[in-house]
Amino acid sequence: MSTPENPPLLNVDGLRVRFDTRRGPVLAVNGVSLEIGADEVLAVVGESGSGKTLTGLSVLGLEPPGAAVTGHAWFRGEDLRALPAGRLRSIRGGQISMVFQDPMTSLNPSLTVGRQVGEVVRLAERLSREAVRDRVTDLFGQVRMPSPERFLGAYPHQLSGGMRQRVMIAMAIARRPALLIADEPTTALDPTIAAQILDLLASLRASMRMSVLLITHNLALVRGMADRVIVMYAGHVLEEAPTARLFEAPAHPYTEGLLASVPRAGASRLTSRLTPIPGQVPLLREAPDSCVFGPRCPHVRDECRVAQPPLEGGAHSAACVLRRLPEARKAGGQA
Amino acid sequence: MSDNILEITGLRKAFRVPRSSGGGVVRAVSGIDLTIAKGEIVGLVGESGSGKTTVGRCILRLLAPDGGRIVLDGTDITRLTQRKLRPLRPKMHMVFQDAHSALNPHMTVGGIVAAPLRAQRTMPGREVPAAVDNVLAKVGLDPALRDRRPHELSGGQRQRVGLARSLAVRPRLLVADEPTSALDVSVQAAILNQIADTQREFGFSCLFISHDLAVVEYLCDRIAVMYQGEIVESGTREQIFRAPEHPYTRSLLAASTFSP
Repeated sequence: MSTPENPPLLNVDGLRVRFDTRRGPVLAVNGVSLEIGADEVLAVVGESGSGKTLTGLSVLGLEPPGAAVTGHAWFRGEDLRALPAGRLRSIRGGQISMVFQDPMTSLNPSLTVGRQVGEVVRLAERLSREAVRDRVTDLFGQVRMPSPERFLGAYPHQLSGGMRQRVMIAMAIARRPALLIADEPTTALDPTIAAQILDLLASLRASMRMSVLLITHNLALVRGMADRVIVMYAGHVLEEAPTARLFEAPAHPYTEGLLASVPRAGASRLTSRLTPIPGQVPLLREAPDSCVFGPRCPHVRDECRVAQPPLEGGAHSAACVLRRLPEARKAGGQA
Repeated sequence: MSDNILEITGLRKAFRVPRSSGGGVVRAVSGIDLTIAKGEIVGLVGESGSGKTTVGRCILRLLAPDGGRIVLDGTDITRLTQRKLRPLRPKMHMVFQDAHSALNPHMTVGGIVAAPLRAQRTMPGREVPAAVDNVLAKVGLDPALRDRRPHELSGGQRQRVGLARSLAVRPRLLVADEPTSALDVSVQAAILNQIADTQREFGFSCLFISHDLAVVEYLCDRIAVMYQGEIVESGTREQIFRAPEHPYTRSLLAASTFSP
């Protein structure tokens, strides 16, 4: 958490993203605010359609064409949403870098990975060819590629998914960023490889004192890596909490539902049923006049049908009217 | 006749690699044994490229095995011609990972689910619509959705249609290849409940192919772990989760409870 003496590294304020489609507007992100402190890992968790990826992209001005974005993204005293393109480009890949889910589509298939990482190195400083090569070899070592020199001349298609993601991470850390935005960095990988990549990210962020915005649908991954968690749904932040608190005492019914729908260790179909969340994520076409989760919420009541509740409660906050009515919630849970 | 719906011994399958990709041969499955008892759900886990999907496709004879034996409900189907296989088809069915590409976009939900019933001619044509509505209801879909097309459905609904199509012919064996890995967790839970419920009601056996250990532990009675084309360990879910023996099984379990 940030304090007045220690301002947040990134402060996203009232971010909104709207698409105007032939079938009318779609409100994909609806007033998301978040802060990441120095040396902090913040996870943004949500299911598909929650707006989590678009939030990460919009912070860096990488939203897809046709997206109408409003709001601010303050980073070290500058509003990334209001910067001239040239200045934003120099921050992107420099002080802030990004790792995506699918390294194959992020890498150029016709250049060797050594050359692609070398390009990023040369953006930062003028170096001789040998110095670039040494620096890339060093980076490949940092991302724990076995025998780094061997991979300098490899093309992306010659590498496994895990190796490609290591190349992406090497590129992302090449200019020692203060903030890394990692969007589903391990979703496309096998579990054993995913664990290695997460372990690598965790140790890099500790050694480089880098902040990480981890965007994911995977709650287990959040538990192992994040300091704080933001839960998104239908473009809204529904809950924000220190990681341990979120798992011990989820405050929003949606978070409860997410946690309950994952099979517990030791549970069997023969002895227990899973608890799915009924219905599906809505596509918002206009500002909601009731809680966005209301239609799927087991505790829904009249108070929920007035407006989307604001996020309240300080360090552990939730956007739910039932927070003020804990006794009502118990009763509602029986219904 | 034994109590096993499926008995696989020494199954082998290799693929030729095109010369443009370096040539040679990939041994996808190199001699595996696997049995599935009646009414049992067996999990097949392993990383991508371990051969688990190839095993599923060989069982369905969507691929021709190179060697070994596949015995389905007492009949050796390893070398049967497609024509001789046809009467056995209702006994086994497959549910795919990506329901979007597994469903014909031009057909209605009702047409998709009716297709195997009509192909098998197990019932008079006039009884098919009622059977379709019945199985749609069984997988938790409103029968009114029968006139919709796949693109009008959510991911979870599409996967239910895939399940309904497979269950329509009341198969003895269901091969489910990563049926929930493309779904959000809240929807995944509903599909897993649905598989558990319909299994209880219809009593089919199931080979459940997955890389998600939490899901496999919940759904399966026994688990086989595949690594580089071989089954390196198999046992009851208690054995695999409480006392894994093979180093690869241990590393899989460690990875699924990651904390740096």
